[in-house]
Amino acid sequence: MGDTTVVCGIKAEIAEPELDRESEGFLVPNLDLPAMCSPKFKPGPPSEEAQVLSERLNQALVASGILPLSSLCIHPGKAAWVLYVDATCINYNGNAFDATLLAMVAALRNTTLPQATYDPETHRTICSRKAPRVPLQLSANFPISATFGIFNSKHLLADPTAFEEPLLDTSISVVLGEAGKIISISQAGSAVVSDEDGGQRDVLEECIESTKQCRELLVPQLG
Amino acid sequence: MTTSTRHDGRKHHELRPITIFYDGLARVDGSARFGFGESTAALASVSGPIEVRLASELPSKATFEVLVRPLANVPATESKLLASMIKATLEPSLILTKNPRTLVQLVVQALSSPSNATWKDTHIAAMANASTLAFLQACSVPMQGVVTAVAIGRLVDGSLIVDPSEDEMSSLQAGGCFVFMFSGSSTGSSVSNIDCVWSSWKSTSGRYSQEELFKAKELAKVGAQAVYEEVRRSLEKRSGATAIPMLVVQEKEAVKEEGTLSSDEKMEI
Repeated sequence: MGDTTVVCGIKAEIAEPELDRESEGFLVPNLDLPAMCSPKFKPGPPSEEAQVLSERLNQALVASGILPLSSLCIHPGKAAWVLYVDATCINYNGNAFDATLLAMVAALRNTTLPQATYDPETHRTICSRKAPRVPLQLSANFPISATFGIFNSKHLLADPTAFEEPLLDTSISVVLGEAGKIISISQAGSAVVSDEDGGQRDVLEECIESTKQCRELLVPQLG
Repeated sequence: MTTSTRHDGRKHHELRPITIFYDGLARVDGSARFGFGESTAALASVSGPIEVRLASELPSKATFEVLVRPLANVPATESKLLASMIKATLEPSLILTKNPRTLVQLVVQALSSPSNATWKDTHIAAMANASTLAFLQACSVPMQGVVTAVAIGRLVDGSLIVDPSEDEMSSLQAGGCFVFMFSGSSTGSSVSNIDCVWSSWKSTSGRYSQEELFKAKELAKVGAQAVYEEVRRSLEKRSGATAIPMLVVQEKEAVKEEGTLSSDEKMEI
């Protein structure tokens, strides 16, 4: 998206499911903002921004139910897939959330898993090399987000860049699922914009509308 | 508004009884405890303006740092997210430009842990409210309004409820937290300017329409107003006088009264 570039890879591992959710696997999204992608970031442990973004991405993916966790189960209580959805930003120019969510959805859509079976006698899970790999059972309700900012309580800006981000009073993120259903909306700051003629209006509705258009444009490109 | 009652006999727009305590932690500038009912509570403390680390010093305003500590376990990414949320909710209410090159530190300790991993909104609301109270008690940072938060949930039958309790959370389909800022000159109990400064919404069923969102926002406004009244009463009780109207300084006035502000800030409630 513009100068923001995010690469996302998916790693699958087999693990024992949690005791209270025996028939569910795990989906672990993570975003890395390395020092390489922008002078803003320093090398070392993940910055606060990276942690906050990872957690928001996790919530967006979980709330959308893009991948039913029960489909990752190999054998209840014994073995399940863990999908590590790792994204790395290689060029950061603002709005990493939208770009990463898009990268993650696209990556999940072309992920295939080997067919695995659990052998209760040997307590081992066996992946067959010969059997064809199967794609994930994704729902059509995949999340697409759009972020907006309000500058100077006057101007509504879509897809803010790294230059604009620190100057914004308000940022609004809308995550939509299929057919324009709202998965989540987060708004930090006031959503009221004053017009040039002194009138005031709430722009949340406008944001939702433009996210709908945005989603229609993006979905065909995901293939 | 429907008149049907909920599990615990509350109406749909009714909050759980609010508890407010000014604990007075000894080593901080201000602290307060806020709870919705018995099961959801948070303790917040404010220190500041204090000396700032050189690395996080800002030349034009005070650095505002929020730390969230969960009830159990060490703070992880989840508390980082909570901290950034609470920071975003309170920032519009604070006038940080008054104390440049200093640090304002807010520490929020959860006193309850959410039983449901998906719906943490009442806890976020309790944390935000406790933080506001701590700032009001500290009186050391100029503010331009009072923020109060309230959680809204949608039940399976589509009705919206204010402040869902722990056992209602398992039957929620959608929900969120709304934060409103009450500012402007307040005369009596009417406040001139109520603005939604922060909100987060999510829906697990994916059937969440726009109209419902706006309905929820209206409902939240009523709830937040109830919290605001409670906050106001608690401060009045503490001071025996009306402290809040003086604290709610509009930014313009604050700039105008720059010279006198330091005395205002130190005002005892």
